[in-house]
Amino acid sequence: MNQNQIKYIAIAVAFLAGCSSTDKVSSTSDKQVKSVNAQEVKISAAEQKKQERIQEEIEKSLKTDLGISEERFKNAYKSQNEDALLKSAAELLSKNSDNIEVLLGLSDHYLRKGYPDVARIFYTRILDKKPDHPDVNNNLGVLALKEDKEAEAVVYFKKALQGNRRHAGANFNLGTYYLKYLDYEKAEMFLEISYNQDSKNYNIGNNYAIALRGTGQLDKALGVYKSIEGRSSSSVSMLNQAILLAEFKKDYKAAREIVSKIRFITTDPGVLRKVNALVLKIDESEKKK
Amino acid sequence: MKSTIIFLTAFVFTISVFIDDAQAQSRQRKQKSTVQDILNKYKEEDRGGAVRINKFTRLIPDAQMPTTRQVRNVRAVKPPNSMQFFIKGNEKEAQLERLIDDQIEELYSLSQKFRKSPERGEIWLRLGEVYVEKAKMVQYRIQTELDKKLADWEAKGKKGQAPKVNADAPLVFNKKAIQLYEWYANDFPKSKKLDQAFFFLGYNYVEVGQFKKGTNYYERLTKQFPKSAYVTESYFALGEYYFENSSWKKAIPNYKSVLRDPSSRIYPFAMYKLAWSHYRSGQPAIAIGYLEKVIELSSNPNFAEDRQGKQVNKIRLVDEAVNDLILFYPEARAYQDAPSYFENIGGSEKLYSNLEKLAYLYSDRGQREAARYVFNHLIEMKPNDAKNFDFQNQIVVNYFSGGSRQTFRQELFNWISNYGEESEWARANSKEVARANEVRESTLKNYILQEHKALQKSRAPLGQKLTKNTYELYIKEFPNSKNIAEMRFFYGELLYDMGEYDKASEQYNWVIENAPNSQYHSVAVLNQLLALERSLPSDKEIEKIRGASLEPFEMNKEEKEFIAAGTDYVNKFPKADKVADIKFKIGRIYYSHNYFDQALSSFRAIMKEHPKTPFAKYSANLILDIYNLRKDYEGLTKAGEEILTSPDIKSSDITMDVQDVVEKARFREAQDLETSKNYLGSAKAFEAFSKAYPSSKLANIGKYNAAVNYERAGEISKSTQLYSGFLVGGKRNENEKQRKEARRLLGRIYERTGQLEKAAEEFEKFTVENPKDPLTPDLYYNMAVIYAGFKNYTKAIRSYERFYETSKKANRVDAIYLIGDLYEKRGSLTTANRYFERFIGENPRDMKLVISASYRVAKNAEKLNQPSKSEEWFKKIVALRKRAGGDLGARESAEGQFNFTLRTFNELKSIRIPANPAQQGPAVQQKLALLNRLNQELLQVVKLDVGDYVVASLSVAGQAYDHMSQSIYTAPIPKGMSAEDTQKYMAEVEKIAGPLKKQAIDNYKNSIQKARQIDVYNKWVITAREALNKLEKLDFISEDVIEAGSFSKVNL
Repeated sequence: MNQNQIKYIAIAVAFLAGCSSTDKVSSTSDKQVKSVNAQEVKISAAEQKKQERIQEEIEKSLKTDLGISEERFKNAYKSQNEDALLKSAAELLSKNSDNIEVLLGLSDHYLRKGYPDVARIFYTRILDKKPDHPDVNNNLGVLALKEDKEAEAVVYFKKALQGNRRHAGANFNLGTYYLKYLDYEKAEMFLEISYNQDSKNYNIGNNYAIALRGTGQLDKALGVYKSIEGRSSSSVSMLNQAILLAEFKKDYKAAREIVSKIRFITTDPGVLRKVNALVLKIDESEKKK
Repeated sequence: MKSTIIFLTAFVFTISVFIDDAQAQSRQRKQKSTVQDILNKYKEEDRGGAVRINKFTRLIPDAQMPTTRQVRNVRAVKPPNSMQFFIKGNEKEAQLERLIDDQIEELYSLSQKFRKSPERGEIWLRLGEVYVEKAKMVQYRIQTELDKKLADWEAKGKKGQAPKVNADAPLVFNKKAIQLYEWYANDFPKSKKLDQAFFFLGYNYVEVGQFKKGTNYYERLTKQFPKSAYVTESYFALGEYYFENSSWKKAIPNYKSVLRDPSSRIYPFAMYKLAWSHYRSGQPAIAIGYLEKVIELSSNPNFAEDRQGKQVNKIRLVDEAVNDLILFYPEARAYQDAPSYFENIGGSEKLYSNLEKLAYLYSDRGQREAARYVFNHLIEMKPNDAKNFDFQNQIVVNYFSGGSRQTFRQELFNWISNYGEESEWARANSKEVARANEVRESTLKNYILQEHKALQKSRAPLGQKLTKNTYELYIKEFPNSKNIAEMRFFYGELLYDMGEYDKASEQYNWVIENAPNSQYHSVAVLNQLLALERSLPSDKEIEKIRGASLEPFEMNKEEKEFIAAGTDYVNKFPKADKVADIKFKIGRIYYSHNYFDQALSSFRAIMKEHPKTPFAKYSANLILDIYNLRKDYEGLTKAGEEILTSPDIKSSDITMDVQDVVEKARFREAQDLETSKNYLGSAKAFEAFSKAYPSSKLANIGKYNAAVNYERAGEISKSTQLYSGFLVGGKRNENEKQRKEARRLLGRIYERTGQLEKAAEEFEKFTVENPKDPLTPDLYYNMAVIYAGFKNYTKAIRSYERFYETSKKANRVDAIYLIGDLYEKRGSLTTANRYFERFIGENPRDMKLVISASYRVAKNAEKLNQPSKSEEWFKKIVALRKRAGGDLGARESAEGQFNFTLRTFNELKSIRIPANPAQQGPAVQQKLALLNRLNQELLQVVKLDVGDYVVASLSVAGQAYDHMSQSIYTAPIPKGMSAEDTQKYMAEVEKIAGPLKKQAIDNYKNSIQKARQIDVYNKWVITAREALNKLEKLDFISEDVIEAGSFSKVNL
């Protein structure tokens, strides 16, 4: 669904929300309620108390029910059990149709299933209530990226940051965008925030380190690589670290150690190709040396 | 930009279905109630509203007016047997019979002895005569004996069979006499005494029952021997024969023949019988004349002795004649003349007794006025005579059974008043007073009761008033009578019937207080209560006070008294007939005064203790009504269910209605919970209702209401379940409005709860079931969006088409654009373009969308390798942009124009600088011209000020200069040049290519700088960066691997 279509549908939303059918239902309801009011029963104080007690019980029971439903929903989301997910989501949304967590969960579920336009339906519901919702805007940005709508994605990421300036995802995505276009200063700015939010994330660390290297902060970049070293089996960050060591720090020995490690753990042909190229460069550099 | 959600944003509650509340008319309280509708079916009588406690009409015992004498059947009166008029003298019957027997024995011996003698005839005549005497003697004896036995039998109460005698005993002698006379008539046909033989033959044959033979001999005698001494007797005998056989007209000439012989002893008797014969023939005046002659003859000294010396009982005959004259008198003479007539006939001495007889005769004959006249005459004759009481009584009795009522009441009043204990008559007849009192009381009582009894049926107001007065008379005259309690009780009954309840109550109260042992006591207690009940205010009167209030309000004095007396009664007489009635009435008073708890208690007791009475049914209805008035539907339901457990109610005609009430009450209970905004409670109640009454007409609508209220209470999954149940249940064409609404709401709930596929299904069902509904086009749209989301493009496209077909909105044409979008998603670019072009062809208002459609046509054409078409559409976009104004279409226009520059750039690149130096110059010039053109074109793009294409244009410009410099740098060095020339050549090349290279570097730098400046990055920036690195001969650095795995997450 492209941008124009989305806009168009938004118009349709407005048009349906104000449709005459709804008006009719509403007016009918009002009319009937009035007729009921006309014969309203006087409720005694005791009856009033009784009803309040019942209401309390109901609410208490609802809270309990809600807790159970939330638990079911989380489990279903984790296990990707669609039936359970939809059922528990329906239960939770029946209590609160604006339950953002549930709507996000559903949209994520449908994204995973390959139905981005269904995900957008739920995202729109959230944005109707909270236009600056950072997660939703970030995710819509990611969706736009997947559809090669980079400019649109950047808009969403920036909007996400309007909702939460420290949003790790949006900062990462925007930083990565700048990194892609070699605007290291801007990339560093966003990735630093993201890194500070989640310094254990090797993706963030990797990109942040590249940005640091781009701005000449080699040691800081190495520090970042070290912070994420051993935390995961990311051959990508190890490769970038090796490049930094070999090509910028001229520490061939350290670079080779890392390269050996990459060769040992990765099966990614792209990474191996780049590793081989780097090794050749190291060899040449050492020869020159 | 917002994403999809097309759906109804406001979650509008639908109201559940209320049973249409009718204005409850019952009790005239304005209220709306479903249950009331049903309860209203019961009219007031079904709730005992119209019920007055039915007072048993205490049947008045049969009463007859006492009569002091037996009424004679006048027409049945016969004259005495003729034999009784003959004086038997002083003979002693036994002795005489022995003499006769002796004579028979002697004469019989003689007859045997002289049986062949010529004198035998005389002996036979004599013996025959003695046999006749003997027969008469035996008959007399037997008759006397029979009379005596009958008297005894009657005296002993006529027990057993009536006594009989051997009536044939005398006939033996009559037959012997006949034999002798027959012998004589045969042997001596010429005898002078043959007339005697004929006479006795006639006599004896009649006696033995051979009437024809007997009359034949009598007639032969009268014809053959007209001067015979036996001829008169024969006529008399013939007269008697015909008289006995009621042949009055034949009897008369024979009796008259007797009158030819005035000296005959039977002369007066024949005259007497003539009177009777005429009387019987309907000639009373002639009859009276003969009787007057009989009486007149009594003064003749020769009267009453026959030839044989036998005397007629003159006194008796005259007495009988006078008596018979009284008997005949009413038929021939005026009653007013009676006193003077009988004074003339019998003298003043016998006048009183004769008139008395006549008066009673008139009474017997039903001639009330004549009797009244004669009795009054008698009373006047002896004003203080003891008999006067009876005479007056007889007058009253006569009128009791008929005649003028006024006269009757007047005579009755006279009788009751004039013969009381204090009357003059009583003082003169003190011994008669007790009896008279008894008769007066008894008569008056019986009269009153008889009158009252008739009135119990007719209830004639005049009769009631008169009887009321008579009761008053009785109470005044006989205040201490043994029957006074009974009379006061029935007087109370009359007053009750007349509506004079207070006075009735007084009479009942007298009985209660003064006659505790009377059989009427308990009934009086009840009836006093009922009289009190009649004084209670009517429902309408109570209603005026009560209005629409449900608060208890004070009862009036009568109501309080009734409750107190009624409670006392039911406690004292728990098994009495009207206990249920009274309990019900008490309950009803409580009910009508809003003392509902007390009323419920009463009604429940009635249902339990008197289940077979109509009050049980009324009570059931009122119990339900009370709960309904209180709007206690839970209570109403319980009460209804309780009522239904009663076997008597269960089998009654109200069962279905009670079930209906219970059903509706449960429904109403749920409705009230809804009204009080207890939606969850209401939903549960409606759901329970539907489960409890699956066959109810309201069962399915109960599901609907449960669904609506579950929805309101936030129990959406339950709501969904019940909406679905509602839609599955019920009948087609039933609750259509709700079905439609349920379908819509169900779809909306599914949508709201994230069940989009189900939502689309419901929307689709709605559109199928309600193709004409105004909401349908919108739902088509919603379905299309959902189906598109789930990549069900066929359904999505079909739904957009239906939206386009059914919607009347101006922007319905947008669906065509969206169909194009879907075809594009499916990869059907040609079809997609057809829809985009169709969309544009329908002149939609949305210029932005038109530009978008145009752009997509252009881009798709590009992909379809239709460059001219693509170019055509990009040009259209440019035109559209100009028309739209502002930024609209700027990007698309920039892209279009930028694409044109790339063609120029490609053209520039395609020109190669040849090795031939002569051709190199023109080639370079051609390229420079193209470069110049490209620059101009890029400048136009830059002027559009669309960031991406500004950056791209600078980058392309860089590439163009880069290409030019590289082309010149790499142009083939002309062959044959010396090293110096070559050096010069290269210097010249540098002069030309160097600035171009510098310009390229500047453009790249500008592109990168501009990108940073306006924060817009694209592939052209990268291109610029890489090219710049190359031109500036920077060290090659290994390519970083950026973790571009876009960071999205859901925080759960």
